[in-house]
Amino acid sequence: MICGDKNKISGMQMMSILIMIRMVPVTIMFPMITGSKQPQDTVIGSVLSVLFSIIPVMLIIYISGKFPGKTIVEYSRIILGRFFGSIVAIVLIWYWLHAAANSLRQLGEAYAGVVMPETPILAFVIVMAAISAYAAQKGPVTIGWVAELTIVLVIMSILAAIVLPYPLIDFDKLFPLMAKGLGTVIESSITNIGFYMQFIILGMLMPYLEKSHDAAKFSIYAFIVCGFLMTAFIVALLGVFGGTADSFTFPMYNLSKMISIAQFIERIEAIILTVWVFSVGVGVGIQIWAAAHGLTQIIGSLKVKPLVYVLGAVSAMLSIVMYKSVIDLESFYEARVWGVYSISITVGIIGLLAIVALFRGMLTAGSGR
Amino acid sequence: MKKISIFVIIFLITFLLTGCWNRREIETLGFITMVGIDKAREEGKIELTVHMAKPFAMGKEGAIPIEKPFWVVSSTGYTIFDAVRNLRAQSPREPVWVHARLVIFGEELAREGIWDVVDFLDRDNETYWLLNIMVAKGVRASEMLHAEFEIEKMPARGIFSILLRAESDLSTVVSVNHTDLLQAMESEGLEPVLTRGEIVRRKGEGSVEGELTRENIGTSVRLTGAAVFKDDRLKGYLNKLETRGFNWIKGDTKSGIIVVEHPQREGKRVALEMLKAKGSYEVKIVEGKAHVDVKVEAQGNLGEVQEYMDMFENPELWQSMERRMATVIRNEVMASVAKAKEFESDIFGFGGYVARNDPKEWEKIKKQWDQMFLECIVNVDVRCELKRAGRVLRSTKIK
Repeated sequence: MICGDKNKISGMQMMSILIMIRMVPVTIMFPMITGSKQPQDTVIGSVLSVLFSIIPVMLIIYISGKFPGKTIVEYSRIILGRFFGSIVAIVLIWYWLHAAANSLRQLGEAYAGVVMPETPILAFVIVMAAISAYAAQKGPVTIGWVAELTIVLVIMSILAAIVLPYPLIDFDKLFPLMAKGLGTVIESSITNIGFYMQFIILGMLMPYLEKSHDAAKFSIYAFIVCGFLMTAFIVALLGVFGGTADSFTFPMYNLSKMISIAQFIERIEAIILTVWVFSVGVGVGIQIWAAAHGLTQIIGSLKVKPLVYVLGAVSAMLSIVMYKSVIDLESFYEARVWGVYSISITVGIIGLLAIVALFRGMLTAGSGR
Repeated sequence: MKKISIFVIIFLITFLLTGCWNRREIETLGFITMVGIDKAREEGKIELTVHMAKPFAMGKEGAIPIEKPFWVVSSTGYTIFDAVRNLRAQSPREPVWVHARLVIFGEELAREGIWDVVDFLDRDNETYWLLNIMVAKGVRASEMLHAEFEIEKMPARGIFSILLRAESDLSTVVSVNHTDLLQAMESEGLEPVLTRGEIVRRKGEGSVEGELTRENIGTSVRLTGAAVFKDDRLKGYLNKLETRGFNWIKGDTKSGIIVVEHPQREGKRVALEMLKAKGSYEVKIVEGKAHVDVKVEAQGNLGEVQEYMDMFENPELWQSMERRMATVIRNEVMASVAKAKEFESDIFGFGGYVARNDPKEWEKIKKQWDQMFLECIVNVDVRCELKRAGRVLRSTKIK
């Protein structure tokens, strides 16, 4: 979309941002499969999690639609009152900062872990945080543009990493399914739903959307694209590595290292490194912007421009101090920690807003402010 | 739009600059092309032998080589990583693994277990993920790393080329990369196999005038089948035909020559070229016993006939050769099963089939599977079809 309001993002740009946010933990660490007790069950988990995540995301779009031009921070304060609304908003701001810090750490671990072992992880984290903060300062429109420009490259690279190892894929390795019961399916679904719930950022993006009725349509497209890419990736990963797929620190990187077409097209893992930079850049940028923008809406005297750099620095610092090692980070992403943490914050807030708004009659036709 | 493009470019460049910390000049690197791993003579240690490429000795294509283009060097350590790092005490260049394509395990180490040495190959960022793994039959891996080829300067490339050719043209070897090995070690109801390599000693040779202007090669390598493991320990070997039997069952045969008895002339033979083949199996558990149905479908051409044969005169010969081809395939399959039973190693993954398709049944039988594999009943159904007879329909008749 080239034409249109210069201060608004198109549905396509919004979709690109959502896909980029979701692709960070898919292309780097992929916690859904790491440490899974039955990696084969993650195929079912991948599909189920899309279905379960759509409901709360559609609900947030619906609530946002009732408060046109207002962000989730603003209408939380309207629905829950100034005090409780601000608490909810601060929880959300923490959630975005924490997610940004996690993405920065993932990227740092990945670069230091596989390509530049002698570079201190801090170098990657600081550079990425600075670039993302700069993008955040420019606002969602610039981030939307970058996302739209790079999404094709990201999707094509992911597809290449999935499709090119095809000669090595043995579909028998996708079985057995549910050999250890439903528990492992639920566990992988919970981790995955936790990541999809990062789409709560729609609550901040919707006022910037060119056509607000595009939100539901393009969010569903984002779910379809993410669901397809993830499921195809799991199939390729299991088809090549079988049950050992759960042992990898960086599964997509490992999969891309298996590519060998006619002894000619080989070692194309560099494309995955590019995907990491773009997806983390867009994901962290939009989350820092959301946190900064949200804070300025709570504390009116603050300004977004300097705040994004402060929050960028906070995310960078958090990314270093929160996790002692890569094992710490992986442990955080277990279903019982990350899944419960992310789902309880996001679904809890969405549910609370929906229930209170319903009781206060704010969700009926024409009741929005 | 221009601003955004500049932003994207800066975005990438800034990030890549962090790489300066890791810069390595190519003149300071020693590229490892092949690796041998043995049990060291010193108790509890591992010996690592590597080929390191000597780029300055490679010369131009077609030039007469006056110096070996590789350096064979060994080091020891308590672990592979330790031994790798200890190489730096001898190598003026930093050893790098990115071009290593082949790892050879010495037989002694393989018999005692390879579990302790595979982790480095999986964990280290430099190792190639499609690294082929082989066992040196009857010798130490370091000995095999002194072998050379008359028509290939770099032995690593020589062995790798033989492996590729033998896999596609003979089907009498197995080609296993370390990812396959790890999966077989970890999967239930499946045991690992690795490529079997042997040293060929040249008669009366080995007269090497220093490192320069050599006329003879002392030892070379040939690939002769498969090495059978139980968990991580080498149990024994399949010969070439048993290995092809294994490949029939696994559906991994690609091409090869099947020699059958001449249908009309006793003691004479006919060579059939296999064009394509499909192999599969099903495993059923009936009354506590495993029944395996192996199905093989193969297509081939008549490639060579000893003495005389005329297809026009006797079209029945065509079916007769198809039947003989099927018998050879059946025999090869049964020979590989018998050998695997002898080694008590389910290299075919019959148990894995049950685990994938009937996980509940597998839970019940997995503790007895080793015994059930030894008692499993294997039925082989082979269908063969000959397609063409080459440039002639009858062979030359002596008047």
